Amino acid sequence: MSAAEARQAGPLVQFWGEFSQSKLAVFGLASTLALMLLAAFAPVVSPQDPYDLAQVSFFDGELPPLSSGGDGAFYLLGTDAQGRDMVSAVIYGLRASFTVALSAGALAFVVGTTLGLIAAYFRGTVDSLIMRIAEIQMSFPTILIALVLLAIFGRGLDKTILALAMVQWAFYARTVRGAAVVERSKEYIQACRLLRLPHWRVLFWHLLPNVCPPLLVIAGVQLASAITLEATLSFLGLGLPVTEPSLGLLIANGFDYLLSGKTWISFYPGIALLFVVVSINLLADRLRELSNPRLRK
Amino acid sequence: MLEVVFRRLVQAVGVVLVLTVVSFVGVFKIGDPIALLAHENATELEIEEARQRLGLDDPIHVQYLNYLGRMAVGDFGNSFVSRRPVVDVIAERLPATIELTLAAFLISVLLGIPLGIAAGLKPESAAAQSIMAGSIIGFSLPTFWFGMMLIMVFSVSLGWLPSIGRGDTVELLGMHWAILSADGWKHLLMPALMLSLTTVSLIIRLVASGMREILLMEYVKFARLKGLHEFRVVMLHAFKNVLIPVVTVLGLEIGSLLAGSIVTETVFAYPGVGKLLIDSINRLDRPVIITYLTLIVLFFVVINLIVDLIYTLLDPRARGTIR
Amino acid sequence: MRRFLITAGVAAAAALSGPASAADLKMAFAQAPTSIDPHFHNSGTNSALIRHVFDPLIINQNGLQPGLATSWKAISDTVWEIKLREGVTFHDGSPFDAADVVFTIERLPNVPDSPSSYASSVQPIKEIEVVDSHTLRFVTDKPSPVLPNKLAEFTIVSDEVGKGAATADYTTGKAMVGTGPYRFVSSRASESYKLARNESYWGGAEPWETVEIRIVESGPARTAALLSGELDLIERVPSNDVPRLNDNASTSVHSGPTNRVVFVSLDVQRDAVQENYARDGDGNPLAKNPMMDKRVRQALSMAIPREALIERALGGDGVLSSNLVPPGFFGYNTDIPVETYDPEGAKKLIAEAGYPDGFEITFHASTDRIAYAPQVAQVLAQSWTRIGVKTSLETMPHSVYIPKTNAFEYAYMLHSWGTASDAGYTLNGIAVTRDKPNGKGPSNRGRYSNPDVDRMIAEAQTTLDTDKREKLLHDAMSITIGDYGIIPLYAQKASWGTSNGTVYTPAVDLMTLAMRAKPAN
Repeated sequence: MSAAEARQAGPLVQFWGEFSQSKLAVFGLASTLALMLLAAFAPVVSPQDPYDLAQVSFFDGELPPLSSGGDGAFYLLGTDAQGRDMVSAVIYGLRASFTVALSAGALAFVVGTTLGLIAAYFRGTVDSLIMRIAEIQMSFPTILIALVLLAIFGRGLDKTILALAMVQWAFYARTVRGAAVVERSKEYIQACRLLRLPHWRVLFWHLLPNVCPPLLVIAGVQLASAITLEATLSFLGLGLPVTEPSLGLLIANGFDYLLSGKTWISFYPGIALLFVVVSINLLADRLRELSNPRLRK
Repeated sequence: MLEVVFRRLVQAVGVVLVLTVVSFVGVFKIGDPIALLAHENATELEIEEARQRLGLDDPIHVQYLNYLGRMAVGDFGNSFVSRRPVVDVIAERLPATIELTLAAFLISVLLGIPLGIAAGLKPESAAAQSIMAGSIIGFSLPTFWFGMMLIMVFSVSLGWLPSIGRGDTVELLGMHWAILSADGWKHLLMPALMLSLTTVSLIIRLVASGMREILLMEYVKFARLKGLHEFRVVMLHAFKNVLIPVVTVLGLEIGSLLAGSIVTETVFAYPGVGKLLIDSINRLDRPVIITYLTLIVLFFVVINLIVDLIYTLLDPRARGTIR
Repeated sequence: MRRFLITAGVAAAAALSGPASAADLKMAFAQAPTSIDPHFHNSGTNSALIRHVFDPLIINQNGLQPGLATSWKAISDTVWEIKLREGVTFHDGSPFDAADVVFTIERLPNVPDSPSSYASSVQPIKEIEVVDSHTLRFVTDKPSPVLPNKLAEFTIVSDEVGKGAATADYTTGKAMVGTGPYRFVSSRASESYKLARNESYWGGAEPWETVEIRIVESGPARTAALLSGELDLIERVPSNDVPRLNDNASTSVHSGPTNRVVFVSLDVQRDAVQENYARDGDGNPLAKNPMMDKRVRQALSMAIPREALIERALGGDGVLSSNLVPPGFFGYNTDIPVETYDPEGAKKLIAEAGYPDGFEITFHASTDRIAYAPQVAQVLAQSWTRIGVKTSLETMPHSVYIPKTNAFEYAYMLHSWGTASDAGYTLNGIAVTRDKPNGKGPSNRGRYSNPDVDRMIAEAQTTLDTDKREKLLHDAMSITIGDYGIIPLYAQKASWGTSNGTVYTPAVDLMTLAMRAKPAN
C-alpha cells in the first residue's frame, strides 16, 4: 500500500487496527462472512438440493451420520425423516435464515432510518408521535410482538419478514434520531437549511452519512437477533412453511425424533444456528465496544 | 407522579384498543374457527347455526363493538372452543406460568450477579474471560434448542428429570401449585433453567461492564488506595452504583421472562398461559388470544411504571425525566 | 345373591392380587376434550371421555352391541322399536327409563352455544312413541337403515338431573351423573380428569378402582411419560417410538386399524386451472386442468408406492385399502384391487394424455390433522416428481386449510375421512355430488360427481334390506374408485402404548377407553 493510499483510507485503516486487536472479533467477522458466502452459494456447495424432490428419496430417511444411502449417496451428518441430506439441509437452512434476517433487516433499516431522520429533522409533533410509538413498542419483548403479528398475519416467508421488520424498525429509528439530533445542531446542517435545499436532500445526502457508525452496531445486533427470532417463531410453528425449512424449522422437525434417540436431526442444525449467532454477536460486540468511548482502551 | 400514572394508563388503553382491532380483524382473515370445530360430516345448515350461536354471523364491526362493550364491564367472553369464561381458562393456567417465571428470575439473580461481579473485578483473569465467553454463548444460544439439549441429556440419556408437564400439584387458595410438591420441583428445574438462560447472560454482562467502569473511577481507586478491604470496596461503593441499571433491567426482564415462557412452555409441554396462547392461536380461539394480550399489555405497563419509579428513587438525577 | 357372591369374590381376588395402586389406571389423551358436557361438541376426544361416565343406547364396537338398549328392530319401513335395559340406575341411584331417552333426544339439537352438535344423529327421527317405560318407537320420514348406527353416536343423560342443567353444570361436575362404568370425580380442564369405578354398573364393575386421564399433547412426551412409569396407557404412540417401546422390557405397544382412510382429492370439476396449481416448465398455468383427463389421475395413483409409503412415512402405522372405507367395514368391496405400483406405466399414461414432458403441480395439505401428513405429502410429491409431474408442496395448519378447501381455493389435496357407520356414510360425505342445502357431499372437496353414484347412495340410504344395500354400496364404491377422482392411499392404524401391568384392546373408533384396558394378570 502506498503512502497516499494509506492516507486516503486513513479512518478505515485506523478502524481496522483497533478492531483487529480483538482476535475473537476477527474470528467473528471471518466466520460471518464465510457463512454468508456458504448460504449464498448453497446450490453450488451442497451435495444435494434438499428441495428438489427428484433428488431426495424417502427410502433414505432417518439414516444416522456417516451412512450410505440406497443409490450410494454418502450422508456425512445423516438424513432427516424425508431423506434429506442433513449437510445440505443445514446449508439451505442457513440460506433461508439469512434470507429472512437480511431482508427483514434491510426493510427495518430503511423504514427505521427514514422515520428517525424525519423525527430528528422536523422535531415537534412528528418527532414525538414517531418516537412515542417506537418507545411503546420497545417496552414489549420482541418475541411477543413478532408472535402477535404472525398470529394476525398468518404464516409464510413474506409475513415472517414483514413481522421481523416491524419489530426492528424502532431500534433503528431511535438510534438514528439520537445521533441525528446531535448532528442537526451542527453548522453544516444549519447551512443547508439556510440554503433552502430540499428536505429530502438534506436528510439523505447530508444527515444520513453522518449517523452511519451507530447504525452499523445496531445492524449487527439486529441481524443476530432476527436470526434467533425467526428460528424461534419457526420452532413455534408460526414462521416459515415446512417445505423450505430454515435452521429453526429443522430443529423443530428434529424435536419429534429426539426422544427416540435420533438426535442428529435436531443437533446439527442447532450447532449451526449457535455458530452463526455467536459469530455475528462477537462481531457486533466489538463494534459496540469501539463505538462506546468509555470502554475504549 | 399521578400525572405519570395517568398518562401511562391512557397509553395502555390506546395500545389495547389498537391491539384488539388488529387482532379482531386479523385472526379472522387467517381462518375460520367454526371450520375447525365442526364435525366433518356437518351440513352447511348446522355450520350456519353454530356460527350464529357464537355470534360470528354479525358484520365484523358489530361483533367488535359488542365485544368492546362487554370488555368495558369486565366480561371477556367465552372461549370459542370450550365455551368456558376466558378469565377462568386463563386463571387456571396462571399459577404454572407464575411459578416458572419466578423460578427463572431467581436463577437469573442468584447466578447472574455473583458471576458478573467475579468477571468484572479481574477482567483479565482466565475465569473472567471464560465467564464472559460463556455469557456470549448463552446470549446467542437459541433458548428452545438449549431446552431440547437439556431434555436430551437429563431426560433421554441420564433419565434424571422428567421432560414434560408440571408434576403433582397442591391446592392452595383455590389454585394448584407445583412448587409445593417435590415432584413439581423436579418438573420445574429444566424449564426454569432454559427460561433464565438469556437473562443470566444479560445480567452477567451488565454487572461485569458496570463493575469495570466503576472500578476505573477515581473514588473507587481512592478507596482501594486507602487500603480498604477489597470486599468492602466492591460491596459498598462499586456494587451500589452497579445496582441501578441492574434493577431497571431486572424489572424489565420479568416481562421478557413472561414472554419467553411461551417458548419454554412449548418445549416442555408445560401447562401455563404461554402454551395456552400458542394453542389458542392454532385453534383461532379469538377471545382467549385477545384477553391474554390485553392482560399482558396491562402487566407490562405496570412493570414499566414500577421500574421507572424505582429508578427515580435510586437515582435522583433521573427525576423529572419520566414521561 | 349369587351375583353378589361373585362380585365379592372378584373384589377379594383383586385386593389380594397386588398393591392397591395396581387397580389405578393413569392414561393419557393426546388432545384436550373441549367440554365434558356429553352433548356439547361432537368430537372424538370428547366422546371418549364422556363414554366413561355415560352410556349410549347402542355400542358400536365390532358391530353394533347392546348398550342401554337391549334390542332394536324395524317393525315397519319407517318405524324402529327399541327395548331398553331393565334395572339400570344412574350414579345418583335414580332408575333409567324411556323418559331419559326422550329427554336426551330432545336436548341434542338444542344445546346453547354448541359449536358442533349431535343433531344429525337424531335428525331422521320425526316422532317418538313411548310404548311403556322401557319400550320406545322411533318414527322416521323415510326408511332409515342407519338409524341404529346413529343411535350409537350419543350418550344418555338423566332427565331429572339434566332438566335445567346447562353446559356449565356439566363442567363443574354437578350434572355429570350417568349410567356408565365410571363416576365422575373431578377435573382440571385440559390437564387431568379423575374418575372412580361405578360398583353397581349394569355390565359388571370394572377392574380399575380409579382412572385418571391426563392430557399430554406432545407425542414424544407421552412416550417419555410411559417409559418413566408416570403413565400406564398412552394413545397415539409416535411411530418412531414404537420400536423403543417394544424393545423396552416394561412397556408394549398394541396396534389396530382405525375407521379412517387417507386419500388424495383432485379437482375434477373445473376445466380451467385453479390459480397456477398446474403449470408448464416455465411456471405458466396450463391451458386446461390436466386432472380432467382420467389417464392423468390414474397415472398419479399408479405412481404411488403404497406399501413403501406405509413403511417409511407412517412407520408401519397403516393398512392397504383399495376402498374409501377401511377393510372390514360394511360396504367394503373386496373385488376392487389395490392399485399396483407402476411408475413406468404411469409415465406412459401421462405421455398418452398429451404431456410427454410432464408438467408441474402444487399439492396442498394440512400438517396437524392427519398423523404424519407432512411425511405422507412429501412421499407423494417425491413419487409424482419421479413420473414427470413435478410437485411442489404447500402445507399449513388445519385452521387455515379447511376454510380454503371448503371454498375450493385449492385443486389437488390430501384429505382423510373417518367412517362412523358404513360405506354409505363415507361416500355421502366425500363422493356424492355436492348439494349444500341437503347435506350431500359436505366434504367432497374435489367436486367429483357421478349421477350413478348419487343414485345408488340415495337408494342405499333408504333400503332396509341388508343384502340389497350392501350390493348398492359395493357398486357405488367400485364406480367411485374407477373414476380416480378420489384416490385412496391407506387406512390409518393407531397404536396404544401400555406399561406391562396393562393390556389394551384397540378399536377402530380411535377412542381410548379405560374399559378397553385390563390388568395383565
